[in-house]
Amino acid sequence: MVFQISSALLEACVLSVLEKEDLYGYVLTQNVKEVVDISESTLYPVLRRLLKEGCLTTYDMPFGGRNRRYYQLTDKGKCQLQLYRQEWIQYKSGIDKILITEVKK
Amino acid sequence: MTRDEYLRILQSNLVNVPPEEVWNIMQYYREYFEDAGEENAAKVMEELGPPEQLARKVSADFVSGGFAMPGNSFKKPQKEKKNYTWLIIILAVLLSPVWFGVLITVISLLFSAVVVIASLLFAAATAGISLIGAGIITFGTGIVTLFDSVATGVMLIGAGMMSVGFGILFVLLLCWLVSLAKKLVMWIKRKLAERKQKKEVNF
Repeated sequence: MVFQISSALLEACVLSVLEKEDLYGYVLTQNVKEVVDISESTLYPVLRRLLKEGCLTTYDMPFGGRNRRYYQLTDKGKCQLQLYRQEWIQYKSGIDKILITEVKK
Repeated sequence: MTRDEYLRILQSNLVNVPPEEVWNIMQYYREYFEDAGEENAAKVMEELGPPEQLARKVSADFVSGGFAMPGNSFKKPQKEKKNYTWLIIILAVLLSPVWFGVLITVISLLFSAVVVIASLLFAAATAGISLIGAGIITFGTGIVTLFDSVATGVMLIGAGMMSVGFGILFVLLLCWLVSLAKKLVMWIKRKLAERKQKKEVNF
């Protein structure tokens, strides 16, 4: 991918994926990977930051004789996601104005 | 490299990370490998990159945090900067006769440049307009004179044309001077903007 994803954008993607359902690390990574190329980074620092900020919370569920750690959106996380969405729309339309309308000329 | 080896190297490279966080990191990646399944271990290792590199990535926050301990590296440059600022102020006061003179000179030079260009513009405009005007009148006179004396008429027509030609040259000079003046103004503006930006960065 030519355009590198920023850490804030990655946070937004993680929050958005977790909005639908609680997920554990591996599946969460796979879900994010489906849409953005994160081969150069791992989600762990992103999750840790979101946990520290109180946007996420975790709970463990037993699975196959061990625990799976699920990540869940908190109310603060939901607010943050809305904020990110607004910011993204603004950012996207700003870039579109330059990139897309220029082509139409 | 096996999964366990990978995890061991990862753990041994987690320096400057609090023990509790090391446990969290290890738990996360152990689980990650488990969920990926035995058959995907190699693929996961490839995706995560070398364990040393992964260790750097996940502990980056702590490494920078370690250096940023209170009173350590964050305050020091600030203090130095403050001293530096004071030094500049003292120097500025002591050297005020010098830089004040230089400042006045620079302002005068800029002012003179503006005045010179303005005068040149005015002169060129005046000369151009007069020459063209005079030329047209002479040309007209020449045509009228043509009926009295052909030679005088032709001479006047020639002189009128020459006059118009010179006038056009002056108008061209005027255009050139205007573009030069524009460039000068733009340059001064840019310099001022750069200074302003620098100032904003410094303080």
